[in-house]
Amino acid sequence: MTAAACCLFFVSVSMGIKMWKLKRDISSFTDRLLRCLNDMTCGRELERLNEEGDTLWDKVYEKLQKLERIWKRESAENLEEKKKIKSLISDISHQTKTPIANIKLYEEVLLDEGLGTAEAGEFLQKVRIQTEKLDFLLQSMVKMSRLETGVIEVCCMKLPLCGTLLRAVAAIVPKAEKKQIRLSVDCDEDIVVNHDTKWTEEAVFNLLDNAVKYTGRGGSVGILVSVQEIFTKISIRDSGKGIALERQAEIFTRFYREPEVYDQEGIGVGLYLARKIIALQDGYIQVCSEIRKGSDFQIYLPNG
Amino acid sequence: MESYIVETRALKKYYQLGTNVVKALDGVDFRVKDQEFVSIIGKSGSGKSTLLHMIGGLDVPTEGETYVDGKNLAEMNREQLAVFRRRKIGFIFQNYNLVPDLNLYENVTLPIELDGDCVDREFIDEILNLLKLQEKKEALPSTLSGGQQQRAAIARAIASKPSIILADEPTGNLDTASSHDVLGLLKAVAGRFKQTVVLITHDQDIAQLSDRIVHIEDGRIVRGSDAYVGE
Repeated sequence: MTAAACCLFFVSVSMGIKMWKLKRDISSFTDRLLRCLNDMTCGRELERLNEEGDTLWDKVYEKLQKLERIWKRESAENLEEKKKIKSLISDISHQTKTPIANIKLYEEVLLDEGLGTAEAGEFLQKVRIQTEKLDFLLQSMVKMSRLETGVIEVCCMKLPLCGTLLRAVAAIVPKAEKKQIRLSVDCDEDIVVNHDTKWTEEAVFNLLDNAVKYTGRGGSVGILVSVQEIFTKISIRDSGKGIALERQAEIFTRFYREPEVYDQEGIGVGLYLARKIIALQDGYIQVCSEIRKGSDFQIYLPNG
Repeated sequence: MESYIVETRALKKYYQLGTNVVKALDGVDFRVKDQEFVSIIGKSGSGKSTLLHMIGGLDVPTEGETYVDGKNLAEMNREQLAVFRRRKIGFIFQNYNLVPDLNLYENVTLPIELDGDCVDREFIDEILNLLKLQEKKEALPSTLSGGQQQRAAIARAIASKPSIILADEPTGNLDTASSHDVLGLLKAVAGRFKQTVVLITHDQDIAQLSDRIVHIEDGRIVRGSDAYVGE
């Protein structure tokens, strides 16, 4: 009898201790969790704890850390992007002042009635050059605005790739003609890819624009499409000056300009935008290039 | 100050081979930025796999330090290292290492279940969709092609949302066309989920896919050791 009572007593005591421990563990777990959440909501750094163990807390803490890192990285990226966009916008708006002032000046001259036809034609030509400059600057502004996160929203549809490519090529024809660059497109009309026509056209155009810019007079730019097991490859090959190996990854970063063409028009977002557009469609861009042998930009879009 | 997700400082690994000392790694300073896709390229025996093993905590250096995600690997004991590998690193090897008795879906979710974490089904479906494996979910590894098996291995490496993916010659057993497709998918998927990838290869064409190429020769980095400034 007494033995049974003793037993019961011990069991209940050990149960009590266990319950007490459990309660303590739960409350310390919630305490720590709340402390961490408080830190995060106030934007403070998470307190550094050791999380290499295998307890429930270690797992939760590891995820909290991951979340903290993602937040931090995103806010840092946004800040950096904003700064750069701000300075570029102020730069571009500043640059628009000169052509406008010039146009005003030529306009005044033109309004002066004592001008001969030949002279007037010359000034009109000058006005046109300035207008083109303005047009370029405004287009750059539009491109910049697309860098703002969330502006590019792709809407993919199963459509023939050929149409998209031809529209992009049509847009580059005037520039290519000026430099007497031969354009060619080799794409099977039956190739259907699940893609966003508007944005893909922009990406292809940016690559073509780039190819024309870096290809000398009388060169060639060609598009070749081939279907692989998983991806459809759009290869844009030019006979331009090529890109040094160590620069090949850098060219896709924002605001990158080849050092030797700083005087040429451009703001350095074309390739960056192209890469972003293709990545949003779960594809990727790759470049193969050799100095003086031209470049081959390849867009890979998933089949189907 | 720039922070790196992987950083090695003067890493050395010497082996005693009879009376000779083999220097697999001889003072390697290697840094990888968050979300970078880096290829390490070098001939066989150049030390590239040893370097990857050090970063993954699979091997211990003779000298020098390895920091991954701000943690010094040398300060961890075996158990902590195991947990670290399971949570922070996704491995992809040349021989896919899929469990033959489990179907594709079970193979992919296995590391998550082993960690006692709950499986994020929506996320897994998204990965399988991206990797074009949705229709093969129920298939056993033996019925899959080499490319499909490697894609399954990629899915498995990504499924537990690790900070870094380490890939050791992942396309060594595949033909050229499949290799390019498989790595293209790895690039697209890693970009989508903002993961860092360190890839080992001897193939210049494959390395071309990455943001940066690091050349290693005789245990030393000869070109491309530093992350790009800027982005």
